[in-house]
Amino acid sequence: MSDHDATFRRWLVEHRGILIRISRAYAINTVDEEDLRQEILLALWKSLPSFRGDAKPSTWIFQVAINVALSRRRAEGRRPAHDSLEETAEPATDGQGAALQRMEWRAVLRALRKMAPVDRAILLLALEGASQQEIAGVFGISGSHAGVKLHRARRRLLVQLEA
Amino acid sequence: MDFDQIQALWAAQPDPPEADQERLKKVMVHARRLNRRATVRDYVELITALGMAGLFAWVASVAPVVWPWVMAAVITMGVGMVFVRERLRGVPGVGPTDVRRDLERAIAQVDHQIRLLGSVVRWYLAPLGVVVALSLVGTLLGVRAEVGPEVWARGRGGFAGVFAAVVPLVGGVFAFVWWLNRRAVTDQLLPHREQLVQSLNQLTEAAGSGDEET
Repeated sequence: MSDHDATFRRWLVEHRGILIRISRAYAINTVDEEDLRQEILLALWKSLPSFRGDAKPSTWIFQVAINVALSRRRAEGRRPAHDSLEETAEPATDGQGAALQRMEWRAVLRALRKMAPVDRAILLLALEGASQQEIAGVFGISGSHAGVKLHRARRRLLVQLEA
Repeated sequence: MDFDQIQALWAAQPDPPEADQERLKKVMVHARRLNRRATVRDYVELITALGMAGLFAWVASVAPVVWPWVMAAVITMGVGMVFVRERLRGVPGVGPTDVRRDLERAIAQVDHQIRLLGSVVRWYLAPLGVVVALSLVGTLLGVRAEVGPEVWARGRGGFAGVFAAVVPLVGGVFAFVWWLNRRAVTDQLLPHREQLVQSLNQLTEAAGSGDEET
């Protein structure tokens, strides 16, 4: 197995969650989610030789994934025939509060999917725990601009959740 | 629910199951196959152009009238080279820089494709049309030289008729190719470009132009 193959496998084992969460947030249904994940994996595979270790692998993966999600052609007229979240893999929860958590999770995902693509990307990065400066670096904007964008995106998400 | 609660819910997602080794293998095989297919396609286009140019050059070496075939060979080579050069110019760079620049790069790539497909008549169909016309002229002139003036005078209407039938056929094929390219631009590339520009505008809009105070 080449270094390329080995690194790719290791990254996918260690950071597969990022791919899952991004493709889930940008897909319109389960089939689309699978397609998007496949596209991201291909892009990641192709981009790997240019990874020089300047960034954290998770940041690199996030950036590749967001790039694919934002750059792919979105089917404007295509909408899921039913609530595709029914088919979406959800957090496995046990015990009390599981149903509530499932409902909240669905509401968050539904609200995220209604956000504009760039807002969604900024929120996803924030939800993954990135700092304002990291967000600025990923998006190629100033730290203050990133702060403003993040603030607005959060407000819009909360409005969506209350709607 | 506030943002901290949303973040906590997000973080509470369990790690997905271990990556499926079979799936990873499939992705890697698929990626390699795609790369190979793109390379093969470029070579096939170049080799086809070279082959056609070689064929015209060979016909030129045996035909009684040389010039149309030599011109057809040169134009075919030119079209092949333009095709490969444009394809290479459109190859996307690998590796992300930042989202803003990646979006700008994606828009530039779509613009390149729009220009390429939008000008297909100029760089592809028109030169190939000239090649077809030269082939017809070369053939007609060759037949005239072979059969002699008397037979040519008697039968030239028939010869010309046969070749005239080729014109609408080739014209139809060219029109279909033009329509396919046109449709790709209007139905796919322009809407895609619009989406990319919207995302870029959303990202770069002035900090003070939003709808809320910060």
